[in-house]
Amino acid sequence: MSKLLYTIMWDREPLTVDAFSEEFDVALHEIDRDFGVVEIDPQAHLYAVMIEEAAVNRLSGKQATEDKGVSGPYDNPVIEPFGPPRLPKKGDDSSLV
Amino acid sequence: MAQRNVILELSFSEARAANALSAAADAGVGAEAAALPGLETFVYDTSYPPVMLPKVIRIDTPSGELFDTQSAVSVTLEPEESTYLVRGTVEEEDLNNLTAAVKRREGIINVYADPEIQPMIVCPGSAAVGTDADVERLLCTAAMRRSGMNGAGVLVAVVDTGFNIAYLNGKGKHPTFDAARSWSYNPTAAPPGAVAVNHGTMCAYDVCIAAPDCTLLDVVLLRPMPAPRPGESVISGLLSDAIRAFRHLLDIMNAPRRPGDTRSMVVNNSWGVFSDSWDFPVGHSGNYSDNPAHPFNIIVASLERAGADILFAAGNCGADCPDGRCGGVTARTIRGANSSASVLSVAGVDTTSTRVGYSSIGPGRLTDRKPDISSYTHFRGSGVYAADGGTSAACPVAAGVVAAIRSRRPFNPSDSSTSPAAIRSLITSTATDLGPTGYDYAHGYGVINACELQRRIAPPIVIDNFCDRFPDICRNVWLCRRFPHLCERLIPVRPPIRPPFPIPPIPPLPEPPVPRLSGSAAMADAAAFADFIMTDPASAGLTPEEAAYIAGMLDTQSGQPSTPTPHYKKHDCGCE
Repeated sequence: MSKLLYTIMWDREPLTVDAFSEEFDVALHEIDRDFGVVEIDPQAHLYAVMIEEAAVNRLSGKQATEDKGVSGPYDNPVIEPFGPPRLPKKGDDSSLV
Repeated sequence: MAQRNVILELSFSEARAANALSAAADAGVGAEAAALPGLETFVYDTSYPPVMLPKVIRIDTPSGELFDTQSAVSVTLEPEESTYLVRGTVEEEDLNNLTAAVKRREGIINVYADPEIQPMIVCPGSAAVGTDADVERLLCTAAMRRSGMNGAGVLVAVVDTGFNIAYLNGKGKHPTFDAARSWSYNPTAAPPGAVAVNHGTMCAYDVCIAAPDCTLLDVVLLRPMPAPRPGESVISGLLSDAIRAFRHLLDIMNAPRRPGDTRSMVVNNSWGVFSDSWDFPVGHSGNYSDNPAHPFNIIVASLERAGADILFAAGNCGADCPDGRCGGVTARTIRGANSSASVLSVAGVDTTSTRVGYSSIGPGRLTDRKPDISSYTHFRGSGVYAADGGTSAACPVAAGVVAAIRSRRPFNPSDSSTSPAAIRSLITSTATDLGPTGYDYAHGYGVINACELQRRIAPPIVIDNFCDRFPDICRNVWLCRRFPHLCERLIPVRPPIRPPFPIPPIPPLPEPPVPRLSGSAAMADAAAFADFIMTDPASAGLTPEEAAYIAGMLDTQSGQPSTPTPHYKKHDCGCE
């Protein structure tokens, strides 16, 4: 099942996967352990986490998004290198723009 | 009503020949009425005089091909044998009538199109324009290195596919590689510094153009993915991988420093999102492209606040010839972090400072004035591809310049003049303006001007009181010839002497004396001078090797000159 990207405001001790699981009632298998819990803004005590959609729905049911500083989901788009540039494929009219 | 530009080919007349010859001698001569046959519907351009076209009198085409380029061609320059070209305009609807009239008129041979021509623009698939040696020249890298602007002491994180350090070494690039602080999405499958030669190796090579002595961090983020079509290669990743990678870099920036360690880190990012279809819709709270609250945009800002100089390629969706992955969309394509206020967004120009046609045009999605600057791309360099192309190559070329700056102006959290914002401002304010005057969305503030940056960061030092401090050294002709900037205030300016006539032969210059110091005062001066240049060679405008050589020559222990190292010759004064 795909996992979605969320942010959590957490101004207590550094947030770990275990602490997140316990605090937000999300099973460990529902958390992307490779991604982990990533502090993205130390000044704002903001963390990012990737969790399964089912867990998200439970969080939403508890109105955790407002009560516990959770926001998301955020997109996790594909990224690709900017070079060398590729020619348009046949039938692609991008060169006409 | 539309007009067509047209060239008419006319046969010989004395008036035309005279007009053509007088125009050849005087650029101000235009077309004279006597030289122009009357034609209804055709308006001559009288500023364009008849141009004599020599007659081809023999084409030796053994193969029978009319345009055989190997065939011998002879022409005659006789005016009577030549034809004459004039130009003008005709209304679109009258073009056929003109063509028919020309066939009936004696003295008019044919009608040709006179299309507008424009400089060739570099597009995907175009041949390389110049080489990395040209880029070095454009960036004044020799002067930068003499000034100690070489990337030494600066971490440069290449966030990409990973690079291959052995390949770089084989290509003559020998940066320090910090394997311990590198990062990979999978260190087993993609070990930093040892991945297959690919896009990231190109980026690392291009960093080393301006920062050959930097310390590279390999941040392996992008990876080969299953290709949708056989034979295609797809390299991609997910933005969540980039969040982890940036967290790793943030940890490095925030780690305790050992004494003498600098905090300078430059982060190169030659990647991004090609299409809005890859992202949540605009207006969705989780959208990346337009949303400063997206986790990746937040961590980019956090890393910049910690002192890292972050560069992102602007993208390859320029209006003239966008990358095929842009889906034909060329407006507002500088998305997300590539347009963050916390980064330097880099557009691409070729080595003639002409914008490459695929370089994305602003405004940016998060910040209006993106790209910030242009940098060089589409040159023959790393050998990974036929051309180091895309804004992918422009970005690391600029990152190398930033690293070179950081060698002389390291980040110091307590000095705002060394903040990433201050460095960005320095770069944009010294850029060479391109396109319309001032900022424009195609070129940003212009092309990065490393020559001016070198002058700003490390101006030539003229030590005002040098002669007072080091009088014996100042009398050293050898030293002043080799390093004139040290002594230029010391050499007396003499009034010119009017020579007697005839001028006698100029005698050869006497052998320049080597340093020969005597007396305790001179010895003290020499010791102080040697200490001065050895402590901070760059501030005296010397390389460490030059400083060591001078100090060795002064030989403050014995007061006698020592033997020059083989690297420098006795007469290598550099100023004659």
